[in-house]
Amino acid sequence: MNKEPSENSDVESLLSQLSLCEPSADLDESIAQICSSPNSLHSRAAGRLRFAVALVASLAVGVLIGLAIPSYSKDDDSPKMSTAPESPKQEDFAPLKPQGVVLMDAGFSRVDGSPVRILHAPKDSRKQSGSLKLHSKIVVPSREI
Amino acid sequence: LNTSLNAIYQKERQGLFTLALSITRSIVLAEDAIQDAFVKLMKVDLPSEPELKPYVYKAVRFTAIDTLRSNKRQQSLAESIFCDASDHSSEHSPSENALTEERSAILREAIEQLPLDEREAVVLKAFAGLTFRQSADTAGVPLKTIATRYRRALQKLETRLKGKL
Repeated sequence: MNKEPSENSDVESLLSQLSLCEPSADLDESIAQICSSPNSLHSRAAGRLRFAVALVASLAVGVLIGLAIPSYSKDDDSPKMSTAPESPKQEDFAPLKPQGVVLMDAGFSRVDGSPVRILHAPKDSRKQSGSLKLHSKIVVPSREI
Repeated sequence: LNTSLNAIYQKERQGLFTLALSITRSIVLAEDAIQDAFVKLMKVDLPSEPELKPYVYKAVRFTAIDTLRSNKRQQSLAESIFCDASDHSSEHSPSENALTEERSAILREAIEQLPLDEREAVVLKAFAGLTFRQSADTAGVPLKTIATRYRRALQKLETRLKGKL
């Protein structure tokens, strides 16, 4: 009842001659492993999924660590802003001796109405203009010199 | 049951792979589907030997369809179920070989262009060697339907061969 029509026998004989794509040896090995050890069942797709999850988790941990540890770039010329401002200390405003380490005279400006002279000025302060702000170790009221 | 399942695979590996590949059109997805199917088969109660073969084919077919659905947007699905090597025609003369090779090439192309249900019928019946009853069980359709699909597919293939040669 379900026999193929005789006119198709030529086609069927040709079909039997076609070379089919073969499964890989890896698949054979995997199936043998699956059938031999049911406790270690895991599909390749599941394995890839687990690898992807582990990779994403590792990246997330790396990003969190990177955010937790502030980095400092050598190319960054701007002074580092600390989270808590450093409170000025008494020795920062102590009078300097005349033969002291006057490294740069950046001219005069005014702080609280008094002219000041900049001592121990870092390079960045050369570019500063206008009124100066009190900064540790660089601003000394002139009346104290 | 593990040994019988492994034995089924060893015996039917080519047919199972061709079925999965004809559905997914990707070698990687086809192998994934077969492996996933066997993982699932290990967890269920398998039928005895006469029904085991179509049962395994059906499991691979379902898994291949699921795999295709979940990966359709990620893969280029155009891999052939046929290998590039020339077909078994070395026993003929060179002219016969050339003719057979040409007919085989036409046939391969025609099979690839068949609708999925007809291609599946050809794969199950002609390549996997299942009976119509087993093919119908595997495809989940009535016996008459799978037989009609197979005959219709063969007629299309024959028409293509006659038109080209």
